[in-house]
Amino acid sequence: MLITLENIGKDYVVHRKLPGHVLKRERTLVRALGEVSFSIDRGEIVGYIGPNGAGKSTTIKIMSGILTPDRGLCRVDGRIPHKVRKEHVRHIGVVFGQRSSLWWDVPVIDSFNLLRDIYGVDKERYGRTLRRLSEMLDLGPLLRTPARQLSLGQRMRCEVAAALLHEPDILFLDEPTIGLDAVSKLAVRDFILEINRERGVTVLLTTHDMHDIEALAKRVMLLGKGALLYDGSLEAIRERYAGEKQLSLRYARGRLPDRLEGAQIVQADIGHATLRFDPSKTSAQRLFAQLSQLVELRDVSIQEAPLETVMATLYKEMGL
Amino acid sequence: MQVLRLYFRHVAIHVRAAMEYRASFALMLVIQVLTPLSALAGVYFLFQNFGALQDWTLPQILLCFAVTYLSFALAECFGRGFDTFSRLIRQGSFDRLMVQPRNLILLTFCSDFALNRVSKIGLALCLLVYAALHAGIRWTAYKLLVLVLMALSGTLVFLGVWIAFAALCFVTIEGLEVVNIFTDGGRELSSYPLDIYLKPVCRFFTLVIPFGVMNYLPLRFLVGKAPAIYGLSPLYALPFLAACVGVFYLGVRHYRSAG
Repeated sequence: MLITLENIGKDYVVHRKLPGHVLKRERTLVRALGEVSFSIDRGEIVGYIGPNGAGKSTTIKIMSGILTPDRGLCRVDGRIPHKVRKEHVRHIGVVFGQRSSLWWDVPVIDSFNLLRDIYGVDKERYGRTLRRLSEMLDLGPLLRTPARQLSLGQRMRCEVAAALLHEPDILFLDEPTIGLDAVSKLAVRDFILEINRERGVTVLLTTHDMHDIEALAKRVMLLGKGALLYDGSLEAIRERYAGEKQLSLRYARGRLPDRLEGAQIVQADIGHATLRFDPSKTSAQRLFAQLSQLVELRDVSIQEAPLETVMATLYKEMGL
Repeated sequence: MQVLRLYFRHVAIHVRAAMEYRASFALMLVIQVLTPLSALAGVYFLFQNFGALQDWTLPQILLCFAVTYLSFALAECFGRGFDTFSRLIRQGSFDRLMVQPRNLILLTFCSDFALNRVSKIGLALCLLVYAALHAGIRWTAYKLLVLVLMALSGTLVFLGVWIAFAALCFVTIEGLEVVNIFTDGGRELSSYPLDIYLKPVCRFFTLVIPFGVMNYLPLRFLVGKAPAIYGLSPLYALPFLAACVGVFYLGVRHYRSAG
C-alpha cells in the first residue's frame, strides 16, 4: 500500500470570546478528524468527497506533512510525512485550488524556473518535463504571461503543471476544478487521467463537483464530521441512493392533469413536461400506460437523477 | 552556496515584481525615509534646546541612531517575510511553503523582499558616515569592525524578535500588534544610548531583547567610555537569534493551518 492512515485524529482548539467580557474566552476543542483509516494503492485515483468542514483538507494536509496528527499513524510510501517533511514533499505534488503557487506579477515561466531551483531538479530533466507538461496542458503562450493576467482556467492549468515539475509519484488535488468553466474542467480532468495512465501517478482529489469524480475516480471516499462514512465505488452510491429518475416528455394532443399517480410533476408547460418517478415503486411501463391515455406522446427520455441530487440525498441520510 | 543562490533567485523575482509597479515603488522609496527623517528632526530639536543628553554629544547620539535605523531597515528589507508573517499564515501561503523541500526559515526569507527599503538604508548609511566622522572617534580597523558588527547584530536582533513572535502566529493565526512594542518600540528606544533610561528598562533591552548589546555597549567602547572587550558584545546577537529560531520551530509543531 502506498498510503495508509490508521485511526488518524486531529483536534483544533478554538477560542471563542464570551459576549460581554473583554478578556474571558471559552476554550473549546473542535474535532476535525475523529478516527480516519484508509489505504490507497499505487496508481489509484481516489475521489475524496464530503460537505464543507468535513475534514478533507485536514487529511490532505496531514498526508502532505503540513499538519501533525494528534492521534494515529499516517504513512506515505513508508514515510511519516510530518517527521520527514523535506524528504517527503520531494515525492508529492500538491495543488490547493484556492491558493496559488505562482508568483503573481512575473511570467509563469519564471515561477516554474524558481520551483525547479527549490526542488533542485536537474536541468535536462526539467526541460523534458516542462515540454511534456506544456504540450499536454497547452501552456505554450501562457508561459510568458504574468500569472495575474491569466484567467482562472488558464491559471489552474499552470498550477497543476507547477505541482508536477519535480515529477512526484503522488498528487494531492484540493478542489482543482473550483470555479472553472466547462472547457478548463475537461482539460484538467483529461490531464489527470493521462498522467495517471502514463506515469502511474497516484491521485487523491477533493471536489464538490460530482462530475469530476464520475470522470476520474473509480473509488470514492466520503468524509463527514471527521469520520470516513463510505469507501467504495461511485456506482454503488448511485444505485443505492439514486432512487428517482427523471422523465422528460413532449406530447401533441391532450393535457396533463395536475397530479399523476406514481410520479411527481417537476415542471409542465404546453406540449412538454418533466416528471420524476421512482422505478422501484412505479414501473416505467405503468407510467407510460397512464400517460398515453392522457396525451399523445411524441418523444420521451429518461435520465438518471442528477449526481448532485444523489449526493444531497446521501448527505441527508448520513445526517451531514 | 546553494542556499544563497536560491535566495538571490527569489530576490530577483521580487525585484522584477516590484518593477511592475514603478510609480508605487518610487512613492514607497520616498515614504520610507519620512519616518527616520522625522525622528531625526526630533533628535536635532532636542539638542537645540538642551545641548547635550547626559554626557553624550549630538554626533555620538546620531551614531547610535544611524546604526539602529540601518539595522532596522536591513532587517525590514531582507526579513520582510517574518515582519508580515501573520499574513503568510492567514492567507495560507505558509502551507505552500511547507510542501517545498527546503528549510522553513529560508523559505520564509525567500517569500518576501522589500526592495523599497533601499532609500531608508541609504539614508541611514549617509547619516552613519556623517556621525562617524564627527563623533570625535579615532577610527582603527578594530573600531570599524565593531561598527559593522553593530549594524549586523542589530539586524539579527530585529530579525530574531520577528522570528520568535512569528511562532506565536502558529497558535493565534492573527498577528499580534504587541510585537511592535518590541520592534518599532525597540527601534525608537535604542536609537538613544540606553543609559538615559531607567535601570529596569535598560536591563530588559540589554539582556532579554538585546538591543543594548548591539549599540549601547559597543558605542561606549567606541567613544572611549569602556574597554575594548565591549566592542564584541554584538556577538551576543548570535545565541539570541538561535534561541528565536528554536522558538519558531516549536511553533511549527503547533501549526494548525488556516482553512
